[in-house]
Amino acid sequence: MRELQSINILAIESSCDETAAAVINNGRFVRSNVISSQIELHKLYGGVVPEIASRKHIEKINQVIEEALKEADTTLDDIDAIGVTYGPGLVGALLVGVAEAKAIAFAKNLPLIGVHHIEGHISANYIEHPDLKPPFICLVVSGGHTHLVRVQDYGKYEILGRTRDDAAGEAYDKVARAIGLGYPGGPKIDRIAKEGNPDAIKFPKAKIDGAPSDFSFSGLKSAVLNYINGCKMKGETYDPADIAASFQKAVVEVLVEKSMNAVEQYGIDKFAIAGGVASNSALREGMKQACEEKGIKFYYPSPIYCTDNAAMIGAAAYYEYLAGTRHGWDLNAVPNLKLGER
Amino acid sequence: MRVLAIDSSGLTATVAIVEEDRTLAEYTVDYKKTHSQTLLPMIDQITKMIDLDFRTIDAIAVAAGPGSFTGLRIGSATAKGLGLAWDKPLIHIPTVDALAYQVYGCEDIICPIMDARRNQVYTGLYTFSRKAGKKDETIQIDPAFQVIRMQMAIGIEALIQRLNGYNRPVVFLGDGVPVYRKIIEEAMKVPYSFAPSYMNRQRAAVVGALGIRYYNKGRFETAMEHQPDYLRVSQAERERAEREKNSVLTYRRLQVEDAAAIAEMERQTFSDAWSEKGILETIQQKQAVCLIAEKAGRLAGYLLSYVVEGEGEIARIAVDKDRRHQGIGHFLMESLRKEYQQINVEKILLDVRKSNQVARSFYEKEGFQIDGERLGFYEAPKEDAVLMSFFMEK
Repeated sequence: MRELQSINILAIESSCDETAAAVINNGRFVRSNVISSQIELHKLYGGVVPEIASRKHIEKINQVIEEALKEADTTLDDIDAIGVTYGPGLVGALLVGVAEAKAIAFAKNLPLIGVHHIEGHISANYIEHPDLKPPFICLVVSGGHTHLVRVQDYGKYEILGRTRDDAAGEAYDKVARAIGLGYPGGPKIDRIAKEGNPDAIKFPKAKIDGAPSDFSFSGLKSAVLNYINGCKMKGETYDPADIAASFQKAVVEVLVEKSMNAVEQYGIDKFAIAGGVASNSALREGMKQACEEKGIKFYYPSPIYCTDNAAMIGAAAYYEYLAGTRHGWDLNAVPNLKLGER
Repeated sequence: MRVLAIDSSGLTATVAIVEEDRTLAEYTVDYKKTHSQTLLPMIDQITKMIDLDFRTIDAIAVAAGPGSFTGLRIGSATAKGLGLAWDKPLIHIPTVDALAYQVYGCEDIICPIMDARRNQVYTGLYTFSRKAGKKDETIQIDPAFQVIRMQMAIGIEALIQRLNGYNRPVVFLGDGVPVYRKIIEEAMKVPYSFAPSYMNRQRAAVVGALGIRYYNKGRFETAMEHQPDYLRVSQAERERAEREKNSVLTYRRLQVEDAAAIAEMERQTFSDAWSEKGILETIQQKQAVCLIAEKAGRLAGYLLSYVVEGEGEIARIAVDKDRRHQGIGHFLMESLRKEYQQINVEKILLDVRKSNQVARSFYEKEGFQIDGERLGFYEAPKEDAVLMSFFMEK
């Protein structure tokens, strides 16, 4: 007989350009984690094309789910609940996962749990850190999001700061395009920055009056573009590696500073990062140092749990499951779903 | 046999449970287009109402396109999820076929039209033939459903012109009717009518009935295989294809800001890829002649070479992996010869991995001849080089 306290969740994620499914036991143990990435397809367009993403999702979703079940060596009969990302994200992309998840839950008479994508990213930290429990501060940085969040309890979030304009990942993409790196910018800038001098160019850090925890990256992005234009007009050559390294340094410094301020302000001794940009080596290194100096514990997920994946959705869904969250068959995709909204 | 049928291709959301000789339940709503919120609750309600045991469902029929892209995906994802969970096959029903099938027995041309925007409709031409469906030695008939023209996307004017050419009465139906009614009334030259409200929109019972026919003919698929048939590529793909078609290959000298993109293509092309730094250093050397080929504003390929005392040496040549076999390699070679002509280069040299037959035959086609071999020249993996050269015309 199965242990009463062993809960298996099949989780589905399709909010952007990754079709993913995973089977998670008790919110922390990953039995399988399958991701089908469309990134090569979207490279042709210099960014994610919603209609193409949605088409790819419907093409792949059953295969991905079946692989996840197979890899976990299980069947739907051993699944206790279905978790699915229902926002934020691209509406057409979200709808595929939501409709599929609802149909499976309905067909098998299983509880359905809609999950916030960013809460999923935050929960990715639970997977590899059995000791991590709320409260903690988490910085979520990805292609579409930059949020500084206080995790008060499982499923209880307070947004301390957010970006006023571009997300950090967006700024990476735009700068990468300007120096000829193409899409997606994050990993490319990270890689080329290793060959450059981070102190070569001094880019400005934005301060936002009255909102010390908010971010702004569009000014920094413009500074980089202006610098490149200036060089071109003067007929000077510039080193993309130096630009990447200096830009990255400016981004990391801001993220570290605001994160550490928040940690201090709330007197919390645990800090985590999450989201696609959390696998950026400079960011990890900067945060690690800052946390060591402050004597607080620093958590970060492996790259595979930083990128969009379903394991993190399963982790978040588990705590929602325990809290009694159940969604109805009318669950809709909510492209601009707010963090912590219930 | 028992089929669960779904159609969310248009403004109407409709679900049904259908058997060979009856419709057990049907739920059809033509109200607001909120299919993602309504479709599954509708299925939930009808299955509850008839105490349906899910295990008695043999297959799921779904109107699989054309239609609203998002609507189709909601229906398809629902059908795929049910099929996966119940381990039952899916039956892919062309949306327009199902629309036409409900005008049973009609010997006129049945012409469903769905608004496809951009002054186009999704349509098809159908009829029932009583003659073809006549049963031997009885007076019973079983009108045969005939597809005159398979479903398609077409301009409304072009459709009407075609219909006028058939010289047969036409029955219109579908959510395109209110949109294009005026145009139809003005341009039709043959007798026509509009189907009444009980048979002029999507009905899942019809999708299910057609589904059973398809199933019996072996026309079904697995839930994994199923995907909608949009009849149209996405706008981004269409525009990109147009840009590609209308754009010509151009070349220019490599600049510093190209280095990173070149390095990216290096990584995708070569096992011993050059780094950004390496490429930057190469470009900045005085004797370097480095070219890139572009199409539709995108890097298509590049060629790095040095010129020393009247001899040019090709160090690297690569073409975007998605654009091979489009003559870009040849274009780069031609461009290089043009550039070399101006600086009086007499001979072009290169070396190539011995096992790289594709490259070797390319160079041969470009007029290069083998000069010799150099043993163990390459690293990663270690391999001999074949040396080749080409004499420029004076």
